[in-house]
Amino acid sequence: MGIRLLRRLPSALLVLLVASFVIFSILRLVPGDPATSLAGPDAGPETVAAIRDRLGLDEPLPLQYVHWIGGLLTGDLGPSYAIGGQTADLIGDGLGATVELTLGALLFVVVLGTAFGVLGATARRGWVRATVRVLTTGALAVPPFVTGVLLVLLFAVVLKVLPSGGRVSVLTAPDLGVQYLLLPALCLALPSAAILGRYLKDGIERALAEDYVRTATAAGVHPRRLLWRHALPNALPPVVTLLGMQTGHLLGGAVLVEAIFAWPGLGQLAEQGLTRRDYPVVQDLLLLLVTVFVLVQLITDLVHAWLDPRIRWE
Amino acid sequence: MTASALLEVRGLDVEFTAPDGTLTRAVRDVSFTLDRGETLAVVGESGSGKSTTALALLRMLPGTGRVARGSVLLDGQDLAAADEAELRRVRGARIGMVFQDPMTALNPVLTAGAHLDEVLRAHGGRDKAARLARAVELLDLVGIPDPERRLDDHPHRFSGGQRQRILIAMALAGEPDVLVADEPTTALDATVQDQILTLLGDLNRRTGTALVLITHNMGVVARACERVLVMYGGTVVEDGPTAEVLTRPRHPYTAGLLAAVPRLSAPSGTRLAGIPGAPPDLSVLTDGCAFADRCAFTEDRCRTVTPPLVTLTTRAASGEGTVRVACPPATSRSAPLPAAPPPARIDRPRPGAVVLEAVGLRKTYRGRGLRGRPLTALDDVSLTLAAGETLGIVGESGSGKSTLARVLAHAHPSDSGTLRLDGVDISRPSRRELHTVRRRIQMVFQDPYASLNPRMTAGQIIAEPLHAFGIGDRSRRAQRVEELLLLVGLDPSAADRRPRSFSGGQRQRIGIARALAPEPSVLICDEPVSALDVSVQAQIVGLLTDLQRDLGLSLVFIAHDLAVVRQVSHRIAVMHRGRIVETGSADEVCENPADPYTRALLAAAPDPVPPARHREPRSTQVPA
Repeated sequence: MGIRLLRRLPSALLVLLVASFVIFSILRLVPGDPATSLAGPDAGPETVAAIRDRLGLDEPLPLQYVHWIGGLLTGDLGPSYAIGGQTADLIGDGLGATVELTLGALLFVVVLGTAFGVLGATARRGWVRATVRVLTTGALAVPPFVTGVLLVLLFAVVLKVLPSGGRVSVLTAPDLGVQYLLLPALCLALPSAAILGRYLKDGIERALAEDYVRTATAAGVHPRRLLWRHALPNALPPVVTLLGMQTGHLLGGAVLVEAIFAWPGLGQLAEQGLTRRDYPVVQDLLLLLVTVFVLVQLITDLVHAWLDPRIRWE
Repeated sequence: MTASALLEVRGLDVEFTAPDGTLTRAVRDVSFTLDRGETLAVVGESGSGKSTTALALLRMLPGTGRVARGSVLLDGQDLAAADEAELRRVRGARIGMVFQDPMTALNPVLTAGAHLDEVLRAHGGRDKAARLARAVELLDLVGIPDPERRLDDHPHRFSGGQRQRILIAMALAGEPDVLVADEPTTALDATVQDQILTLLGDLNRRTGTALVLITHNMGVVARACERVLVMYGGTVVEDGPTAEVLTRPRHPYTAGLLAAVPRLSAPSGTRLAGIPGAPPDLSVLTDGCAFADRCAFTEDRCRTVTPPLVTLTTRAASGEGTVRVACPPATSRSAPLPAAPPPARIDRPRPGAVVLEAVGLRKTYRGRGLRGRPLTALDDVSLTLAAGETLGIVGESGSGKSTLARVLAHAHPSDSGTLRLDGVDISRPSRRELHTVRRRIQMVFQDPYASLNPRMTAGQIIAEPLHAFGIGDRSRRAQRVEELLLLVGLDPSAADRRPRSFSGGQRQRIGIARALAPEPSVLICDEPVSALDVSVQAQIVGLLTDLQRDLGLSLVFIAHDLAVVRQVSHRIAVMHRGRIVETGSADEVCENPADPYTRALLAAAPDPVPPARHREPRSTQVPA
C-alpha cells in the first residue's frame, strides 16, 4: 500500500503544480483589473496606482506567482483584496459547511446508488425494476435547482417536517444539524446516485453472468450470498472509480445547492470572489478544489487495490 | 436400468426460446442411468447437447433454457420437479460440478480457502475451525502442495492446472455421490490434462464418487471412463462400454467421429478422414435421424422416423454387456459397421528451395507491475521453410509459438535476429518493403469467431486485403472474391452473408480465403483448427494441404495437438520456453524423439486406441 502511494505521489504533485499555474494565468487573462474595481468608477489613475502598489499587482507576473506559492507553502495565504479579512479565515469559515454538505451527499450517493444498483439488477418483480429505472432516469434528468425547489416545497412547505434553508453544524447539534442537512444533501446527491446506480446495476448483472457465479451456484450457495459475496465485490472496482470522480462533481455542484438552501459554504465565497475579482480568494479556492480532487483519486486508487487482489500484486 | 441406479435420466427434453420466439430443442428424449461409483463419458461435438444435458441435471440452464419434459431421478428424487431450496441441497452436496475454463470459473476476488469455505458453509458447516481444517484437507486431496499456506492465495496466483484442481476440490467438498465434469481439461495443456485425468480417476477409486465426464475428446474418453454415451444433435446415438464402443462402433456417427480423430501413430502425409457436412440446426429439426444428412448409410426410414435407442447384447472379450444404439439400419445388421477404408495419403510434391529463413530470433516482453520480470518469449529461434513445405510447430501454452507466428508475419518486430524472404534480409524492412512482405506472408488465425468482423459480409472480409494492397478494380476484386470462395469450398453466393450465419468450419474457410487473397507464398496458420470440432477439423486440414499442393504454398502450421501436426507437416519444430528444443522430419520427431520435453509431450497425448487403458496413476513431469 505504502509503495503504491509513493509511486502515485510525483504525478499528484505535478498535477497540483500545473493546476496552480493554469489557475494563476487564467485569472489574469480574464478581462478586468482588481485595482480598478476596488477603487470604484470615480477614482483617478493615482488612486488605482496606489492600490496596485499596495496589492503588489505592479510586480512582474512570475514574481506574483512565486509570492502566491511561497505564501501557500508557509501557510500564509495573505489578506483578501475585496471581501475583507484574511483569506485563510474566509475559506476556513466556509470549508466546514461545504465538507459537511459534500459528505452528507456522498452518504446519500452510496446508499441510494447501491439500492438502485442492487434492486435494478436483481429485483425479481418487473415493476420494481421498472420503478428503479424511472427513478434513476428522473434523478439524472432533473437538474438540482429544480429538485431543490421541489424538495423544499414538499418537505418544508407542504409537510412542514424539515427546514427550507440555513445550517446548524452537525458537530455542535447533531439532531438539529441533520434536519438542516437532509434536503440539501439529497438534492446534491440525486444525479450522482443515479449514475452510480446505473453503473452498479450493469456491473452486478455482468458479474452474475460470470462463470464463477455458475461455479458457486453449482456448489449450492444461496442466491443472496451469490449477490453480496460473489458478484458485488467484482462489480465494485469501476463503481469506486466513478465515485471518486463524482466526489469532484459534488464539490462543484455544492456551489449551486448552497445558493438554493442558503447554506453558508464555500460556494457563496467563490461567487463573491469571482464577481469582485478577489484574486487570492479565488486562486486559493480553486487550488483547494484541485487538491481535494487529487486526494480523492489517490484514495480511489488505494481502495481499488484493496478490492482487487490482482492489482494488489502487480 | 435397474431400480438401484444412483441417477436415472428419463426422456429429458431441454428447450431454449430465442428472442424472436423460435424454439430450439437442444436436448431431445435423452435417457441414461448412472450407477454408484461408475465412470461415464458423455461425448459429442459442439451443439450435440452434452453440456446442456449436464447443466439440466442440476437445473442450471442459462437464459431461457428449461427442462420441457422428462425426469432426473437421483435416488428416486425427481430434480426436474424439485423447488429451488431442494435443488440447493443437492447442488454441491450430492452432485458436484466442475466446469471447463479454470481461468474464469474461480472468483478473482476470493481466495482458494474462501472458495472452499463457501461450499462447506452452504452445506451446514457451522464450525469455522472445522471448515478451515477441511479446506486444507481438500486442497491436499487434489494435490495442491503446501495447502495451509496456499489457502490465502487468490486464483491468479495458481497455474491453470492448479485452478482446475481447486475447482475439483470445491466439487468434492460436499462429498457428493456424483461428480459432473464438463470439459475439465479442454483449456489445459496435454501434460496437465493427463495429470487432471489421473486425479479424477484416483478420486473415483478412493472416494467411490461416480463420475460423469463431458468431453469432445475421444482420447480423454478412452483414458478416463468405463462407459461412454455418444450424443449428436441433442440425442443419444450410442451408449455402451468404452472398450466396445471405441473398437466396434455401431452408429455411423460414432464410427465417423472415431475415424476423424487424428492418430499420433499415423505417419506424416496421412489424410485425415472427416465427416462431410455440418451439424444440424436444432431450431428447425423435424422427425428423423439428426445425422441422416451426413450419413453414408442413410435409408428412407432414417428421414421419417426418429430412431429409438435399441438395446443389444454384446459378447466382448471382457464379458457380456449391453450397448444401446439409435440407428435402425445398424441394429438390424448383424455384423458391425464395415471398417473404415485405410486412410488416404496426401499427394504432395517435394519441397523446393528455401523461402523463409529465420536466424537467432529473440523477443522479450517487458514485465508488468512492480515485481514483474521480463518474459523471454523467443530465445535464439532459427528455422527455415522451403517452397511447398509444411513446418509444424508444437508446444504448450506459453512456449512462444504464437509470438513466433507474429514475428514471422511481421505483426511484431523481433528484438534481434535476422529474417530472410527469398534470400533478402527483411528483419528491419522499410515501409515499402513491409508492404511487399505482408503481401507475401499471410496469417490464418485460431478463433474463427473472433477473427472475422461481425459487421462485414464474407465478401467484404475477403476483399479487405485486396483493398489494402491496392489490387484490382471493383469488378476485378468481385471476381477474385468469387474465385477465392470457390477455392476454399464455399458457394460464391455466400459473399453477401455475414459471419454470424456461417458455422465454425465455414468461418475458418473465410479466414483462409482472406489470407489467400493477396496471393501469398507463405501462410502462417496459428492453431487454425483448435477451435473446431474433429469432424470439421479434418475438412479444414484437408483444404490447407490441397491448397498447398495446388498453389505451391509454404505453410507454418502451429498447433498443440501433435497428432494433427504430424499428419500435415513435412518437418516439426518443438518449442519449449521460447526455444526450439528439437527439429526434424515429422515422423522422426514422433517416432524417435531426442529431447525429453518432446517425449513428455508424446506421452501425454491421449489416444483413443487402445481404449480403456487402466494405467497405474503416474505423473507426467515436464522437465524444467
